[in-house]
Amino acid sequence: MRGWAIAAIVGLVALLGACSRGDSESVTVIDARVGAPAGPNAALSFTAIGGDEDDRLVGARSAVASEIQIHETVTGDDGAVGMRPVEGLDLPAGQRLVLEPGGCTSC
Amino acid sequence: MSSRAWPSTHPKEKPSFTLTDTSGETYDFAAETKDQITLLYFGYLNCPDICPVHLAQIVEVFDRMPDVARNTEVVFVSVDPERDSAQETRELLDRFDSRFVGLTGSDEELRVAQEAAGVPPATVAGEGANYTVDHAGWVIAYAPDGPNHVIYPFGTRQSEWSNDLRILAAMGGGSG
Repeated sequence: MRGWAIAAIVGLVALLGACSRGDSESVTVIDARVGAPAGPNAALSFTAIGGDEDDRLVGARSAVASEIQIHETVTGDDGAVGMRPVEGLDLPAGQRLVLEPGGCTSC
Repeated sequence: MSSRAWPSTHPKEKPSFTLTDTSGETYDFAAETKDQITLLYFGYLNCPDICPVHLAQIVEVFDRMPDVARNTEVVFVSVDPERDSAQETRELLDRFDSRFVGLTGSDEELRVAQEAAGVPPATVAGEGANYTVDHAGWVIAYAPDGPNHVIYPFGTRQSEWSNDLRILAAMGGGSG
């Protein structure tokens, strides 16, 4: 469990950096957590709150992950669920961007 | 009703299929799970989101209901036999609960098992080593008497599991 907790903290720092690449300096990230992984991949969930200006989450890095991707969960017509990579997510000024299990996640 | 679980209005009987467990032994699903509450789930190890959440949720519910857990078989079927070795599947399940059964099989055996269970067949999405797998995202709960009275989609609350498992436990079957 300790390894997962470290991943969450490092992921949080990395995402703060990723969200703050624009001029907006008041982007905040709350409720960051990493779920127990089933295998080599783990889901990082968090809520980002936009700052004074529109921003965009374009990626993330972590010292403990070889790669972090942004995915969204999709449901097919037959009910099957799958994950699809997303190139970026808009974070409008003052708005909340929620990445959560079953929705958009970083992993 | 706020429950997210899906009560089956026309419960299907427990399916018959045979796959291979993480010890390399043949596992006859219907026979091995006879008279037990059975939670059946089709997933894969590289799944970062839906699969581990379901497994973790079951563990947490079991921690609160050890009496029910003792008579419940959790069967995880890997639909990604290309990447999920028996050893890795075992290691994964042991992280959650060493009692969980891990199964897989050939593409054809998995197709038969999924069809028998009434779930959409898993399909590969994306390319390269990091492909993902589209698969049924719900857990099927069979009562000890056989039929699947409840299906748990992703996002089912633990309180719903806890409530339902006690009801399922009372639905006939053997002594456990």
